[in-house]
Amino acid sequence: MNRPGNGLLLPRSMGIGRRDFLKGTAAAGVAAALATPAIAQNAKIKIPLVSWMWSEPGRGDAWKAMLAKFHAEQSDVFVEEAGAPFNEFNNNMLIQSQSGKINGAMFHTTPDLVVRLLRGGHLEPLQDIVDNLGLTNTLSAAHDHLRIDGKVHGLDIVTVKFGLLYNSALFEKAGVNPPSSMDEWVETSTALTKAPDQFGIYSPHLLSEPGDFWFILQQWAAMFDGKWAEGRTPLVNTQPVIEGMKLFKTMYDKAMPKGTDIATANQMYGNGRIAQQLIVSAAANVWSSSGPDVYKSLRSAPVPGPNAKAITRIHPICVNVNASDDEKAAAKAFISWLYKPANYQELMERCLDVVPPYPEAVRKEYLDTLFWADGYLKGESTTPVEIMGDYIFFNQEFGNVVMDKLSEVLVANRPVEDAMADAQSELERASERLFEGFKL
Amino acid sequence: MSVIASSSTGNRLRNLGKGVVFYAFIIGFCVIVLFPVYWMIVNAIQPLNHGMQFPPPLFPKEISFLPFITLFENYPVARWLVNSLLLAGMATLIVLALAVLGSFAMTFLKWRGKAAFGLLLLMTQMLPEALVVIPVYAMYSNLGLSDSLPALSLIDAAFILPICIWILKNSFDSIAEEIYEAALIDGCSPLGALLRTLLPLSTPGLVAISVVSFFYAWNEYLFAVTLIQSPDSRPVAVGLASLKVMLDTPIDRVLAAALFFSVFPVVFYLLIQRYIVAGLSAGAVKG
Amino acid sequence: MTFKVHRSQGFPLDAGNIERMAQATIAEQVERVPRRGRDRQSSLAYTLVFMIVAYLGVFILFPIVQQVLTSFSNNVVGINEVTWVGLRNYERLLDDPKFWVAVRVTFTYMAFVMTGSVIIGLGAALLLNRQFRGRNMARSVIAVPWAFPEISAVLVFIWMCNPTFGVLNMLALMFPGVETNPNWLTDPNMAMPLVIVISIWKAFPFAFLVILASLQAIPRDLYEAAEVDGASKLQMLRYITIPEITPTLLLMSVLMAIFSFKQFTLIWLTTGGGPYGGITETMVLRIYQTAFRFFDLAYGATLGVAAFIIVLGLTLLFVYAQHRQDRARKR
Repeated sequence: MNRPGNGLLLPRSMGIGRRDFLKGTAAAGVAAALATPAIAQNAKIKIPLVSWMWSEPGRGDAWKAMLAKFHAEQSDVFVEEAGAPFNEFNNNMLIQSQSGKINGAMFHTTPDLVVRLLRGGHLEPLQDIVDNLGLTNTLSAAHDHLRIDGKVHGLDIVTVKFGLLYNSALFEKAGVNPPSSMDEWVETSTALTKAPDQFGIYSPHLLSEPGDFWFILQQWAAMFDGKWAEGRTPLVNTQPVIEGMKLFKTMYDKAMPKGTDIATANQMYGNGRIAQQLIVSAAANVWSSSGPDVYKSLRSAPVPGPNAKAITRIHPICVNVNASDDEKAAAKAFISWLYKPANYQELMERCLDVVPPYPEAVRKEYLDTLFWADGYLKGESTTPVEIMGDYIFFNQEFGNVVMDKLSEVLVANRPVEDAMADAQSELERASERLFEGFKL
Repeated sequence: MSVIASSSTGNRLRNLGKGVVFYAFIIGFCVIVLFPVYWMIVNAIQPLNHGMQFPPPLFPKEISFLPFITLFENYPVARWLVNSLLLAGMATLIVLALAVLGSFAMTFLKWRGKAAFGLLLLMTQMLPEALVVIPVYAMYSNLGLSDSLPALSLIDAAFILPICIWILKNSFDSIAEEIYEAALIDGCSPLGALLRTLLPLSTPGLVAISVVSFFYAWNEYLFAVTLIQSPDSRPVAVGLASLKVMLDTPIDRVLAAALFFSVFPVVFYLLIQRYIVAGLSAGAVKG
Repeated sequence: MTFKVHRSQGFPLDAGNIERMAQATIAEQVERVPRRGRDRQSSLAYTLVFMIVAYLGVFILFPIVQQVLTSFSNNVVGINEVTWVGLRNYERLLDDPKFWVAVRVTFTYMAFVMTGSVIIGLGAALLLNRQFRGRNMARSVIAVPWAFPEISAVLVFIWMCNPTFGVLNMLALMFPGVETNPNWLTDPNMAMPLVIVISIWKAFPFAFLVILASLQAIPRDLYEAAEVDGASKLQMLRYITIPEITPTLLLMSVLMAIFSFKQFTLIWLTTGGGPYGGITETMVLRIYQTAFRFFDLAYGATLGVAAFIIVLGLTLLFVYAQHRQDRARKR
């Protein structure tokens, strides 16, 4: 039962890998060959940046360009690509954290993962970077749940915020505008649906894609200013959540391509066959590279709803607490460099991001060029911690209960109230077990 | 038992009728079995919007290799393939070496504990990979073996070895014990007899376990994605998964890649299938 | 083209391994007579077996022991302190309705995939054991799904089952009474049958190949003798073919049971255990969800241990059945 922090061996760069391996035939030989420290040629220290982003269209190239710039400006630190595909990224990090140490000196994290890693004691404090750059008071509040004793343990590299991303060409053709009320929204979405050729809206709804399903479903309650939980009390049978789920069911019946997986839906969106998606700003970047035609027609509106809040999540970059001192210093050097306004501005512009971690990290001139970003800039924000309460640590398990019951509503027409009452009592039963051993 | 074999003239017409029904049945069955494969090919080679109409066209409306071109231009597909071939090749070699020794001990040597050994093998076959992946990762990481294809092939081989020992044991069972004993009397050591006499006689078994272990290592995903981190070392299974990214899955490229991913094992099987058949008939001559 | 195959040299999987293992125990106890060279043989045997057991021990058994230990702890990722909790996870297991649903689903799924693959494999093997033009091609075609990677199979089946434009809708609409496209994988009544069909599609070719090989290994003279006695084809099937290949059928049942028990990809990527209420959620999916998505390693390990015990019991049952069946045949 290895626990984090017992570090039998220091993590080592994963980069020197394969060539050495292929030389040795026997596994023992391989082990010996790798046991040398990972300091490569030119007295550079090589550290990996473990991320899922390398293969993302648009974003991967942006990060590669930033690394190239970093390497051109100095020669002490060399940052290498490493990581797993997005779908497996959390699993990999989890498996590694359980084996006692996480591989790699520096890694990107997802909103779910980072809270666990933080609690597991895997993260190095990064407050000194913030202080040295003079960001102590301007760093966004979305970082607050990453603080222990006031020290922040991860720094945002992409903030994703929800909005209604729509295809303006389809809106014009049907003569509709972004909704001003929920009833109007149902009406226009229905009018935009001409199955099987065109659909009004898509939101993931398959249990085979639970991560995305839950990620976006949370926003449907936030449209009604709903909270899924407060502290340790689940709130899934409260009015705003029920309203949100009813709206989901109505849209599912009237305007969605039912039973369609995300990949296919994206393709349909790219072909101009889905009019709207409730989705995060980062999606626009994907379309700029993989769907240039639809990209031109993209516009956004704030998340609809009377008191709607747009869930805003940060994906932090973190430094491994178990890395060697040299590696930590190298990782921090890179992050400090990245967080300088000029560099971060470039990163944001290359990634087509809209929400900065601190105000100077984005140029106004740049934001003005983003013809599709309006709705994302205007919408009022909320954070996962605010809507999930202490269940932020059990986000997926919580989500699974809700999705399971909602699916019954979707495919078997169970009344929303009944289904959510079930979910509520199931979550209440689980809460004691969940929080036992978790001192929050 | 033959259908087309001609019999008396009076029955010929009836037999012809039977033959037609038989062929129709066989062809229908093959069509059903092959349809998913066909459907993947159709949708990989025609622009996707055709397949996204209803009703979808049953034959490709136009042919475009754009997804394949995009795939090859943007992803190191050749590298993935080389990695997968290396991985599956190494795993197959390890399995061959150990399965030969294990089945040899199970079949021709006299020792106590065979039954326990056999049951142990059976047990290890039933474990889902997800159950052991965390401890395996911990071990690999402590030994500095993560991110290595040879090390990955070791664990892949371990998971398919038990069933391969069984398969080969069955093949050895069919060799008369006298043959082995004759080799010993001729002055061979037990291992010498295994190499010179028994192995040449069990080609079909060796081919069969090669296919089984090759397929397993080619398809295995959980260990590969957990233990391999650098993009350069990814086998095809992980590469294919890396096409799906955070907010987008280029489904045309995924279909193209999946098709590409499937071609190798299918061709490998079709090539080696002839060999299994050849081995089988050779056995008849020998027997 | 005929391949006259000697009985003893059939496809390498053609007889009952398990039954032999069971018999080996008995044989060992009976056969105590020392033989020449036995010591040398057994020391070589122990060296070889030690190598293999050590190898499997490092890569499979040692990790399993660690997981068993984890099942007695409260290890959840991010927990303040990991301690031993005795049997508490097992108590939770007994009270966990989702676990029992998963057990039921697993057995249903296993039963259908196992019998379906073996029966279709047997049927196909009987058909293709006849002589006809194009037989080799048909044999190759039928074996293709075995070589087709699971992940590719999933992609194409999801595509075919899309309720909006999947090609299966065309088939469904031909049936009288079907007016609209079915929901396929999200329909509570269709999800399980579809997952089973997809799994059988993937699994039956292996059964087919092995059964075909064992059919070819049946001595021709048995049939010739029966023909002389005036037996009908059906009688030959009943009294010669089936008894001759029963050990193979049993073995295939075990292998298919193992295949379906371990199956993850085909279920997870098509239904994710849904459409709701765990309708298609097998134990392996439950283990995966618990350990990897809910970060609850201790309970994930507990589910794993429980699943393992259940299937171990099932396999021993098979060994016993095969053993009995074989003894009955000898009598």
